[in-house]
Amino acid sequence: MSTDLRQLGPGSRNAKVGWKLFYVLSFCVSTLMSVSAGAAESKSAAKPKTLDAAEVAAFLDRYTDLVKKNYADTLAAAKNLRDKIEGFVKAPSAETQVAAKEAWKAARLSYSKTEAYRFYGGPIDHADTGPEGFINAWPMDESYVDSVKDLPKSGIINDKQKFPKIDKESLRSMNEKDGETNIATGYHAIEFLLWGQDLSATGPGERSYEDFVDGKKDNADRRRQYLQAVTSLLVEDLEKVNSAWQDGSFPKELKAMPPHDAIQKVMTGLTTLSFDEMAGERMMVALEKKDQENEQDCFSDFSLNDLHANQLGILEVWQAADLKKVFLKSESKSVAKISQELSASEKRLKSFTNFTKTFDQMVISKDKKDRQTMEAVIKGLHSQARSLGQMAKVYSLELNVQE
Amino acid sequence: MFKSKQSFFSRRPSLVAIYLGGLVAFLLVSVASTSSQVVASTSSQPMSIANAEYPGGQGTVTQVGGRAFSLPALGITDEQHKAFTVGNSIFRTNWVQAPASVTTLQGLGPLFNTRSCGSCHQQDGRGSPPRSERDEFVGLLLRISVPDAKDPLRMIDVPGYGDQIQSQSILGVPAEGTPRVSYKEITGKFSDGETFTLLSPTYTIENLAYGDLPKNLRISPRLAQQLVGLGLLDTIPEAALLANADPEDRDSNGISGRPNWLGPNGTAPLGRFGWKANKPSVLEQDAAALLGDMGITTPLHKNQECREGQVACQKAFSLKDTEMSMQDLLRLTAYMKLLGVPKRRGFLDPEVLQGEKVFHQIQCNQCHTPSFKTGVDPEFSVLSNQWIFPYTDLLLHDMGQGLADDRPDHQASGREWRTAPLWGIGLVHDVSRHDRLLHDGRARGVKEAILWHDGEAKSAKEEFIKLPKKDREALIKFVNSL
Ligand code: HEC
Ligand code: HEC
Repeated sequence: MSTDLRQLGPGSRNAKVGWKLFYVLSFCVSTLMSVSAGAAESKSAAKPKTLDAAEVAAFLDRYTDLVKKNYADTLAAAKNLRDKIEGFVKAPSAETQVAAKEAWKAARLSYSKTEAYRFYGGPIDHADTGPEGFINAWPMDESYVDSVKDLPKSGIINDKQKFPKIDKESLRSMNEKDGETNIATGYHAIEFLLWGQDLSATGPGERSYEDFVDGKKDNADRRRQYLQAVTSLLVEDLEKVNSAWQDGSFPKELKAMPPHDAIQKVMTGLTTLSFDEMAGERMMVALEKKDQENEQDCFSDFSLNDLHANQLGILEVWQAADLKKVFLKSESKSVAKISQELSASEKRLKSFTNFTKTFDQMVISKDKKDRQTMEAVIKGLHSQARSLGQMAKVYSLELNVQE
Repeated sequence: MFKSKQSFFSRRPSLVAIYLGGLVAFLLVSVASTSSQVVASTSSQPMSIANAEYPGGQGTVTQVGGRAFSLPALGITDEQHKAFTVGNSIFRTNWVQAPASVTTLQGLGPLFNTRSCGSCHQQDGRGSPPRSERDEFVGLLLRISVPDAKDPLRMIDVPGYGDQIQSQSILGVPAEGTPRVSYKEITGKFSDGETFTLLSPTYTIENLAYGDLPKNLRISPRLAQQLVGLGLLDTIPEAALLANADPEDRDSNGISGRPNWLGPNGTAPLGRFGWKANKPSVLEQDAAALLGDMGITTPLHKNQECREGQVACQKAFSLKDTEMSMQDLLRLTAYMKLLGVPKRRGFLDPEVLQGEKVFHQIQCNQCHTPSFKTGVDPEFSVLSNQWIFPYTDLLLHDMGQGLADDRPDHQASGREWRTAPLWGIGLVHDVSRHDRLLHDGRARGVKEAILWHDGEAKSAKEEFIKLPKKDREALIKFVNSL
């Protein structure tokens, strides 16, 4: 027998006795230790600070008001999109198409702000009931929905045999059927149908309204049905999320939690959005792979606006709903730093939206400066998430932020 | 960047007590069982501390819900995070038939099962068996083989088909066939009279495109696994795994534990991954999945597996550059190795603690070895020197005729399976919205999974049947807390 700890403890099957003892002892010890936990902690590390329950409760009220307002706006914008698409489908023309596209952009901006309320199992992405996968899944494999360059017959729209009927129910069942990128519904499916594949290096996709005119393009009727159904689904899904907040059922759940858990959820939303989503999946991947289609709104070239709206959503939780107040008294220095970093990121992203270049142009740009600009944004997003994570640690909140 | 003990503590200050508790208990056990042989940390390496609430060691993530299996281990560097993020996108994105406008993702097929890794391992989670008899197979695939006519104990590829049924194909190439499953219910009783029902599957293959299958065909159904903590399993020192091996069952406890040696005539490397431990490393598992499941060549496998008689397949494929570069394969592998293990839930819940006691009492731990210390991964320090709690010995066990596929795989017999790691198992439902367990997803939840145990695990299963209901439920709750 070797002199390795593993041999004596859990790693070994032959140390049966050892295991039993281990467990008995660890029960005793952990009971003992939890009684004297305070003492043990003060010796080995700073004692975690506790959150002020009254402050947290007051914040959760403000947070709930903010979320309610933003989901109500998002739903209204989606309904407006549905109306405009109704108009487009009834009378496809260049004008009605533009109106629908503008409505899509407004709806998208409104939704992007609400992404600050994702990633913690709330109504939007609850494990069993959250419709996020129907609303916003990305990346999208467009050939699953409609024809693309070189594959003129591909997609649900062109496959009458396999998909005889296109309506809300059939689309619902197809989305994410076999693969995370078989995205048949949500903002990006609508976007693809309005703009088409982005094959141009200088602008967004250039789908003609004639794709929706009978006799001009195969399956125009099915394309119209698809666009209508997919937009109604979006409205339905947003209604579901909205009502879980408006009728008070989720806010009640949030407030019933220990303050520590509720704040951990809210903050996980903020850090995950900035570190993993915005900086990671939405910017870094595109930059690393230098692939034009690897941007979030790849058909409309609207990604920079999305990113800015995401950041506004984060900033609103911090400033407008005043999350910072929860920490202000005992962590004023960190609070000041975070406020400064969040605004700086917002400014950087704002200047992005005034750019003459689009996201995909920057990604494939040969100009070094473009890359550096994007890297600076990524760095800022990392840094704001890290600062939030470090402050949270003081309260033993675990946000999964990389150090 | 290696985290010192101090920074580990400061990250989770409230848990210091438990760490110390675990450590003290550990040392006590060590003293108790072999008095003078206690070696804590003798080298210059930082000492890691075993804490079962953080099964993935320092990289453990705190996440439930749909993303529970999707986060990177904590404590990776910015460069590693970059590779992880790009790897994640490679994993999720659908590949397309060449030529296509998205040049970085072309090369799918000619034959394949699905178009992305994420199709089978949705959100890095477990695949699902088809929900009804006419549903397509997605996260479940059929490996096949046939006994060699000259040496019936040796399994060889099936003429015209190879070693896996590929149910999809690009335009102009016939897919191999359509797998189907049907279930028969079998019922049984616990000692207290409560009844249970199990689903016993039968597999068939329809729409055969390349001729009849041999009568003595062997089918091994395999469900896509959840993918957390693979880098840590990859890093467990071989000696630590072999220390548990007992191929001749010398301690005559009815449990053998055999390594699956994958080299010719039972030589190294040691298999660790897949339901029969038939792949030696995450890298090789990834490259095999790319080729076998999606038809994508890499520097590890430069040729398509078009079989004899699959003329259209051969024609559709022309050997140019490999379809995935080494750089992308390494990013994908970094992603796979770095997916973090979720923290346990309800760790100190009294019922969970009771269940944990039962787990050891009825000797589930004889195969589901709770803990190991990892060795050193030269590339990823988060994987190095970690006490981890995967609940597997990564060895093969005879699990009885009920679970047998009768399809030997390297050293694994037709009745042997690798002990499945149990970490993360309680979050399968959160991520995949189903609770189908075992190698082909026949079990609906932990209870049924235990009831299928047989062979070397027969005594554990029988003990489980005899338990009072309260203890059965505690045991299940414990397993679901992992
Ligand atoms: C057609 C479905 C399918 C696809 C597509 C697929 N996998 Fe898998 N995966 C499986 C199955 C089934 C297993 C178990 C294999 C076995 O037992 O041999 C598995 C096992 C694995 C494992 C080992 C897990 C463990 O715990 O041992 C890794 C790693 C893995 N897959 C990675 C990938 C990657 C990377 C891709 C994309 C290149 C991929 N898979 C695509 C079905 C799939
Ligand atoms: C003799 C070794 C052995 C013993 C003892 C044993 N298991 Fe297992 N266990 C396995 C193997 C091997 C598998 C994989 C079998 C398969 O997939 O067909 C497995 C699978 C499982 C699974 C399903 C895992 C998954 O990912 O689908 C659960 C749950 C489980 N075991 C729990 C237990 C419990 C609880 C006990 C004690 C009552 C126990 N096991 C005892 C070897 C063992």
